[in-house]
Amino acid sequence: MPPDNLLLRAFADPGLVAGLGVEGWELLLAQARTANLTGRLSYRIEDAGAFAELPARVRTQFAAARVAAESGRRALEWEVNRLRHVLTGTGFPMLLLKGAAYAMAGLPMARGRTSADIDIMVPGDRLDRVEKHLLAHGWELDELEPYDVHFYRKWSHELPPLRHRDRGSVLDVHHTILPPRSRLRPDPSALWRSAVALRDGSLALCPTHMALHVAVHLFQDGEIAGALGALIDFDELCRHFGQNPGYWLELVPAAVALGLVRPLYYALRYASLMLGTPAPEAVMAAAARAGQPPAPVRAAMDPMVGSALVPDLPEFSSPWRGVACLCLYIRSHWLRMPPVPLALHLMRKAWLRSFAATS
Amino acid sequence: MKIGDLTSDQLHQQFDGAGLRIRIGPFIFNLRTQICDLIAEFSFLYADFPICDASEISDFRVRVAPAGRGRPWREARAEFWADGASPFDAFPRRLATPFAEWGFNWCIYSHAHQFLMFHSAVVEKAGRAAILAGPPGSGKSTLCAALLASGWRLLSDEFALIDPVHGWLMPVPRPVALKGASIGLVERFLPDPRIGRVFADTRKGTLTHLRPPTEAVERQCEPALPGWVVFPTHAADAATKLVPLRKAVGFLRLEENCFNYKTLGRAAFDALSQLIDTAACYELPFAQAVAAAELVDGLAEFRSVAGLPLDAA
Repeated sequence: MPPDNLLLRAFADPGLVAGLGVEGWELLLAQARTANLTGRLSYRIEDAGAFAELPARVRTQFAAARVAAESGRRALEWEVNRLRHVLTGTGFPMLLLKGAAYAMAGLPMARGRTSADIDIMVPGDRLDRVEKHLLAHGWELDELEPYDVHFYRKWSHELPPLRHRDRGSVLDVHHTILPPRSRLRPDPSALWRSAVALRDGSLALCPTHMALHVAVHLFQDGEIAGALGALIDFDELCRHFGQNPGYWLELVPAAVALGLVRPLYYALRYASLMLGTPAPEAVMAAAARAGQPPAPVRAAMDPMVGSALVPDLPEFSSPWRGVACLCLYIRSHWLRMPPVPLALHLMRKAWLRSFAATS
Repeated sequence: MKIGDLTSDQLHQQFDGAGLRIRIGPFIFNLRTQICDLIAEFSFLYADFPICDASEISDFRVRVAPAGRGRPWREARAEFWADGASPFDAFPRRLATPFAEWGFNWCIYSHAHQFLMFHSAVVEKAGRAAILAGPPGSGKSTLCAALLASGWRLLSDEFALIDPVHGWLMPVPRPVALKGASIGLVERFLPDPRIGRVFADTRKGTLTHLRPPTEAVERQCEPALPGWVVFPTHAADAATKLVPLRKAVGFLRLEENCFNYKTLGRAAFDALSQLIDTAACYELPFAQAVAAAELVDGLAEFRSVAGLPLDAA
């Protein structure tokens, strides 16, 4: 039996915390801390009107997590300010992705959310010049194994991470939202065409593309570690933008236009199943028609996704979770690389890992 | 109920089962372990600390677990886990106690942003606290122990926890870490030193822990107002003296010792300003801890003799 994913259940139904005993709270707080979601959980509970009844010690822990998240948001805004300062005047447009976009757009989901790094997108044909420009202005490439650098340059949709030499902040520069040789290749020019301007003058993806980017990140790009946070991102984007009926009308057509119906189908399926995302029936049906995989694939994905979303607390770790995460990891690489380079890449990684373990 | 009230069997049963919830200052730690040496050493150092009843939710869920069982030919190792995080690589199991102490520190400074936290020892006399701030090796723990011998109350050996709302200091009177030559010194000047096991080869050299005085633990929920900020620096050839510091310098020096100044942002600036307004700042180069403690003791003496208000609230 998979361990109780109380954290997921609390995000789906924040009212349940009213009935938690000491052991329940300790499991929930431990899972939230492990998944780095304590601040967001506190706002989800507050929005559901269940904050006042919380035990005093829980409120204190939530307040401390909010202080840390708030300082992360301040640092993020400053980082965006510095990037704009460096890139303005070069004529390079800068599009904010993920956490930076949520914060600068002032979305409610940015409250309590922490980001380890900052993600931006620049046009692919200017990537080299942007990189040179950033390197000339204080960002440095992390020391990586030559193989990893080669992997980034050849198989990835982003530069190797850049780190600012004074502030230590980490910057990921993307030129599209999926690896250039993966099975799905959304046209970046469509993303640029419908991008929206934020209050500070930088750009962000339009609401439907923002949600599709999360779906892609979750089900195509293979970041298993932050899977629960990403599913919550998708849910909260849909809840927020879905207040405008136009969002739901455009979501599936936008996925069709970009060729991203499969990840959208998965994101809608698991978000509504696990977090109660209020997606209209018609949207669910349209996404299923366009992007539903064959039944055996669905049957295999359900338990794997369920396990990968459980916060990784060592005392509750099950061998099954490890297997599920490995399968999803291989699947994500399968989708981004042709079979032979993939086999070589995974063998190399496995060899390095066992070598590191014995040395 | 205190830890010292439990029998060895009860301790093993609790630590190895659901864990023991211990109140340490403003925090509740839930500690689980099956490592016998750690249980024995921990229950000696923390004997006076109260056990929480089952209705209290812990702040930190800590586990010190055996590791590396697959390699019996190597030295036994252990891991420290706080919820899903492990701040260190596996360490030799015989050093479980120092690593547990460092792990507890990690829990506090990584999460307790309800406080402005400084790396310092804190002692109190007549309601006023002396903050002894400085990097490792500055002699603050030795000076702290010397002040305990002159009747000061231990608030903390590691953290000054400032409540930014009220401006007072919360105690977290965990064991005092003593290193190298200071171990012998402290044994000589404390009337009844209760010293734990000595670890000869930790990453910080020879190390042991002084069990916190019973009174300090009994009064661990009683905050103190800031009185003095002292920056000790130990050097064998130093002329021991208190050198007054300008407030602005004291502010900047103390900020360097802060764990979460940037994290608290404006609230940190306000709380630190308020603290520096209330407290007098000194540098204290010293050769001998007892002589240095006399000087600090004189500050408290002077304040009460001069009839300065001891209660700023």
